[in-house]
Amino acid sequence: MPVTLKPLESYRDDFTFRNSPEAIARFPFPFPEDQYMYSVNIEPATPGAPGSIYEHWFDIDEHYRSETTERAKVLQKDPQRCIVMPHMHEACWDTLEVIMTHLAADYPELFRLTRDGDQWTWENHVQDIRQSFTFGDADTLPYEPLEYIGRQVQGDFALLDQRDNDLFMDAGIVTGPADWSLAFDAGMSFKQWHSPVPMAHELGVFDRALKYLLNIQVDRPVRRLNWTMTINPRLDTSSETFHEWGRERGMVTPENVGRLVHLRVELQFMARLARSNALMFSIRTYLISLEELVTNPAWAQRLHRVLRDLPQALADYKGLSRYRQTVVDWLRQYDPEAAA
Amino acid sequence: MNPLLDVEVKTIRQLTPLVREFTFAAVDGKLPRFSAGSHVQVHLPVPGRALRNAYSLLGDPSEPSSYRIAVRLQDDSRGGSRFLHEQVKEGDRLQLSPPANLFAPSSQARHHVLVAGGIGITPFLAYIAELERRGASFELHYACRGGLTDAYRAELAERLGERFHAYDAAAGRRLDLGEALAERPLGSHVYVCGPQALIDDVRETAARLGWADKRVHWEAFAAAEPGSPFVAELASSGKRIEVPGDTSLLEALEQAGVEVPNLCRGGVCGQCTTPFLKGEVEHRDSYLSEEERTTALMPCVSRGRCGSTLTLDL
Amino acid sequence: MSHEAAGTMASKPVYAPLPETILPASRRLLVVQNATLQAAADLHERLQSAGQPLTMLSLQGDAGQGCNDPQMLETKLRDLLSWSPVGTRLYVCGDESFLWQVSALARNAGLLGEEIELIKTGERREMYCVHCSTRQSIGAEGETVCTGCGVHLLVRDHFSQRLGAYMGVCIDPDHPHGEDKA
Repeated sequence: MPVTLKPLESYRDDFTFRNSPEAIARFPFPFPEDQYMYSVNIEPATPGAPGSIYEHWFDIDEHYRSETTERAKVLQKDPQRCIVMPHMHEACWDTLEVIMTHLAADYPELFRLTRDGDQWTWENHVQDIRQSFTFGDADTLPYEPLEYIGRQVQGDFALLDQRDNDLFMDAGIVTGPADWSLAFDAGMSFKQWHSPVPMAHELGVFDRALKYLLNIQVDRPVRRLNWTMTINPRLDTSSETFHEWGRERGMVTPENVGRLVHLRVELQFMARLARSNALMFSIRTYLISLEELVTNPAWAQRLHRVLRDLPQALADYKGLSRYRQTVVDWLRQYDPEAAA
Repeated sequence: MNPLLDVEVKTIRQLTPLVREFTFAAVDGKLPRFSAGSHVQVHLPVPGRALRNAYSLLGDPSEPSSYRIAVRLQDDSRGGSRFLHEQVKEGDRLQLSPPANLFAPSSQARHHVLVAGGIGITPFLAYIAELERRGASFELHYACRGGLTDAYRAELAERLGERFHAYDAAAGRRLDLGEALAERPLGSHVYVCGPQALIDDVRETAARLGWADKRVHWEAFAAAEPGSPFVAELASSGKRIEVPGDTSLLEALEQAGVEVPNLCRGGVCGQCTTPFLKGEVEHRDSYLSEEERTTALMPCVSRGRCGSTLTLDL
Repeated sequence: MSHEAAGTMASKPVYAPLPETILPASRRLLVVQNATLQAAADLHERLQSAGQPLTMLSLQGDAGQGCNDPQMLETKLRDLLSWSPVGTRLYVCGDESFLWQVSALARNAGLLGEEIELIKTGERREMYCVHCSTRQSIGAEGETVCTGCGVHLLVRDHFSQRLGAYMGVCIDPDHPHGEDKA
């Protein structure tokens, strides 16, 4: 089903980003219950319903132009948002291959791939690209392969080297993280890069998750959802720029809360790369303002309860503390059971 | 989506009286790429059984137009290798589970020391293609018996030159691990594939020479051994499954339509770990801790007590 | 990041005062920041009694045995490592800045983290400002100012072994440079 691409909107400065009703309808609301606690909520990534965000391995939506333009801006300012350690070059080519073959198959009106042995030609009709190159030869591409394809797909990517019964974040292109830094975390093991997450370590969540991930087989990808909140539809909420956006958490008022506060959901998709045996970890971020979200009454009601009852440690870690009460107060009107 | 690969047997070569090589091509479409060290499970259509044996892929991982495996005829086999040696012909069709990798070369090694015992040479045939492509430094030691378990020896000698050392037991040459592992460059890793005794030897020698555990990698060609018959009971349905002596518990479950995740069929990878509620277990795996064994077992190799009932939490 | 997880950070290094067990090795290298410290002397004695060939390098030492120059120390260590076989274990004694600098050099030469034992003395450590990538040496303090970009930083317990540094991140985004809070 062909996707309709919106004209350019911004994830910074004037924040013109908005969701169409279609985008709202397919938004991955992440709460199956009225209260939230960590779990190893990993499931097989079986193809989802047509039109849903789970239909394809890589979801291209109406924000494609905006998101890829935003990525280019971030990389221009800070090239360290794409890091590839020397032993990860094969994994990068694996990733390029996987993304190109899936995009060409799933969105033939936008992308095309023709291959003759290792002579490939890639076409991206949105970005007006027609690139012939030799697969495996980085000199025949204008960027290193992970960056090359990363600039043409939505979502961040971390490539994990599997060794010693552990996973190491040894490559990645990360321009829209939820408050972490690839430049700092590069090279860390699974538990090391998850260090800052409160409570989960004691629950054994990461031990089980790691075991699960180590056993992912080729063509048997898995996925999970992660969530937090962001002020303004800002994609680049990296640690690097925290000193620029952090103050926005103090700008929320009862008048602007619906417009300013966004639910931020990450669809994390993990696939085994066949040749390198590395794990590709894609983080596809979806943003929705509260005023867009409450057009779905069931979501509004549930979100009220989840945020009202969220343990303080989690709220602190997710950066919600300054505005949580304002949000809960505003959402109360959408919860029939809540006291007036 | 059909998880199994449909393949046709393209070529069979008898390399030695004990070792037979099979080349498979996809019936439809292309075979998935694989990483060096991967294995496939061959589903053997032995009448009345769900017999699956795991074999390393020995082709060049970058050329997946076909898959190659080499099978050693095992005397005390439950019939799998014998079936492959005697029943399977060129043109036959078989099913393979997609490649899985429990034995990948380290991305951090500065030098790779490969130690193969007999049929254990197979994963290294994929390794050398990959390592040469990477421009990595490596050496291969092959303990074998001339004419019987020295498959690929001549071509390896020609291809690798000084990097290759063969130790033909029939000619009285024995592999001296103390020598092979001494004074290896900083950053070396050692990989061993072959009989358990060789694996134990390498691990012991490496430890004695101060090699850190993370530098030592091994793949055992473990497989289920025959045992005494017993009955398995599924707790949720009460269904009772007879497990004959020459069938593993995992195979019996699969025959009864109960699919249990599994990868190695040899009790080493942990994938098929199954909790049990009642009954005594003969643990034969190399994965679970003593504590874990009080409540779980690996059905690919472990069994219930002769004549008794084992209740599985399935 | 406005809040630190309660409890120990999994990435934060934990140091033993002396190695609990002396693991088997074919040879041992001991690199100390200051050979006159008791901890360094104790470690030297302990390793010597373990039996395998032991070589010691120090940055500062007595009787002129110290390199006195970090560059010289690095050169000597690189040289030693270049002809050391696998089975070599490295023991480092000094402050955190020293420990991880030596560790990085050793890893580049091919050693695994498991083969490097770190014994900490003193309080100096490295911090990495996530905003401008500047590294600076600090003490035990939990807050500081970045010498590169001037942002006032919280020094987190989140540690990168690759960088050998703790993360410094803006402590008050409402006043990143510590402006007048009036």
